[in-house]
Amino acid sequence: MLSPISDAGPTAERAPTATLHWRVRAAVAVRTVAAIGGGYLLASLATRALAITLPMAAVDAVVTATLTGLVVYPCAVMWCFAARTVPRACLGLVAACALPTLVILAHQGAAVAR
Amino acid sequence: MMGGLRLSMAWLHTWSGLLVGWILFMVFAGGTASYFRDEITLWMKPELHRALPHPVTQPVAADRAQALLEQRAAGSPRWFFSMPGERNPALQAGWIPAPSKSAGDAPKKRTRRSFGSATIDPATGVDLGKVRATQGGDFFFRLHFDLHYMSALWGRWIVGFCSMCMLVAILSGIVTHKRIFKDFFTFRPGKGQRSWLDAHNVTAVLALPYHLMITYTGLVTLMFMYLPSGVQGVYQDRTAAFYKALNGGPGDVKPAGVPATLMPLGALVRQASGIWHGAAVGRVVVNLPGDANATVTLTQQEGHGISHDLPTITFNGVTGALLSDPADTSGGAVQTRGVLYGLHVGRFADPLVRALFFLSGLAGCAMVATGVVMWAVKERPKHARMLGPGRTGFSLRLVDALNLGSIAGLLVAMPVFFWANRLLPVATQQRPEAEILWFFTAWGSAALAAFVMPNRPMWKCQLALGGILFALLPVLNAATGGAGLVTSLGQGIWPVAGFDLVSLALGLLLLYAAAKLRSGGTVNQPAVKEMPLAGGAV
Repeated sequence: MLSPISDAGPTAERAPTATLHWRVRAAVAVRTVAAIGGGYLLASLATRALAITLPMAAVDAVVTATLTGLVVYPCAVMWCFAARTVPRACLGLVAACALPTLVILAHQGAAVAR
Repeated sequence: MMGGLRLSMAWLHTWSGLLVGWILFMVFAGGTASYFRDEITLWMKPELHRALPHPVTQPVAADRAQALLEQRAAGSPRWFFSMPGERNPALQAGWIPAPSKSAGDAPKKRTRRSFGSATIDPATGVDLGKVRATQGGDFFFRLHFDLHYMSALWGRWIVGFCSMCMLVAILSGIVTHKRIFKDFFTFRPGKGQRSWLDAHNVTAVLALPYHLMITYTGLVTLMFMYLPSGVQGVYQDRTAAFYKALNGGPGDVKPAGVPATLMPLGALVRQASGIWHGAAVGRVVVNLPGDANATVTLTQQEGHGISHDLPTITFNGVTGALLSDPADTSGGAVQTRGVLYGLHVGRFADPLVRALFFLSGLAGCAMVATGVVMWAVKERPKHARMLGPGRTGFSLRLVDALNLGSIAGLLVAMPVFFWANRLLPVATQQRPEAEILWFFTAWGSAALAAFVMPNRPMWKCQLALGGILFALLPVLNAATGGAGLVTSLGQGIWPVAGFDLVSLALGLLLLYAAAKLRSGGTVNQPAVKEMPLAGGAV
């Protein structure tokens, strides 16, 4: 299964391996969607969670959070392709999203309670 | 996935780099050219080459601008002008036209064209007048993040997506790379795919800190648009308050409706310089000139620090009272962003640092170009094995054509833009757009030719064409009213001389690359390594 796609172009024209390539392509497609969409979601959540919790002036917190979010995104993308299996990649992403989501919800809960 | 971290990152590096490489090459080339945005603009206005004004002190220049603006832009709600400097010897003034009496018309969208503007000789206050209309260096600057022929918003999202892919490509490239230091000194020319890999490694590793910096800071310049969740989370719908806190400065003022005489701007310029311990003024904005509530905001000239957030001072325009606190400083994160932003635009740089940034930018162009070409070089033997010698499948043919059209094609289109600037009649209607049309016509034609014939002779042909067009720019300059090399070097008109010399060097480099490309050759042998190293632009 080494570098499946770079071989897929010419070899795809040979019928016997077509099913394998279909599965590899589907896996790559899922990873890509997870990386672009899921990575952006994670970066957005992390940025928001940091922005509302960092103990500094509001404007500084927003700037720090957004600067960090720009680094979170490419790391999430790399994770999606580095994880050994597709379910692992997706689960990792979901787990990473859970923390900032909890922070945001807790923050909102505290705001309502006040 | 796929057999270990290194291999999966190699895969990610290949694809995140290749799929956006064609746009990224233009972004890198346009951005690299933008380091000399002012010089390019000056070169494209040959009327100004010889009429270069004698330097005068800043207060004198400000008073001259004020005199001309009071005459030409009375009743205007806002004037703005940039002080002459080493890189732009004339004073550029602009104003919002006075509101027309026929109010009640549907409010028209304000476009760039609706501003008044004048180029002023700071020594005499005379309008330098018949300067040809051109976008100048601003065209490449805008192109590299707004694209063209589409809304700027779409352009920015597309460029942002490509930049994020670039950041992923750089980071995964570092992971997949075994021997960063050793590759620094490795170059094996004439060895096919191995040479391409070496060239890619050398250009990437040599300027790696620069590539990382420029890609990340590029995203930083527009980060609140790309990643607005932080702003929304804290400020909800009060985004205006956020930007005010970010950028500082007093808010908008309302007109009093009572006429009052504006203070001499020269005195305010002198006072601001004094507060800044002698640092020069870069930009002056006058709000509500002639009204009792007039304000004057002065921004420090670039070059006294890296940050993009330059110190500003606001005065009351009638009494001269200080309205802002110069000691007021922003928080650490805001300052950090200012520095990152400033690093990207590089306006702080002195000529030497600017030249190094320019060379690093060229290395970036070469990195992208060698990267996408290497994909095709690696792929070619597989196609030959599968489909027979010399045959290529659709995917490879597509990549070949896109490589040729986006790299060599752009290197033809860029000089064509400069040729159009000089050869179109000065009185042409909508001249700036006409120049841009020539740029895209040339690029489109080159790309079309690339799709018809994506092969070595076409590379040779387009590189040679780009080389000739670049190399002859100094001749064109001298022949069409600009200060030729003899004049510019003799009289020390460095921005113009620099443009001519860099164009000549780039032209010769491209011609050398075209000559080194073996026109026949087996298809499996890649083109010569020097070619992509020339992949830059003025």
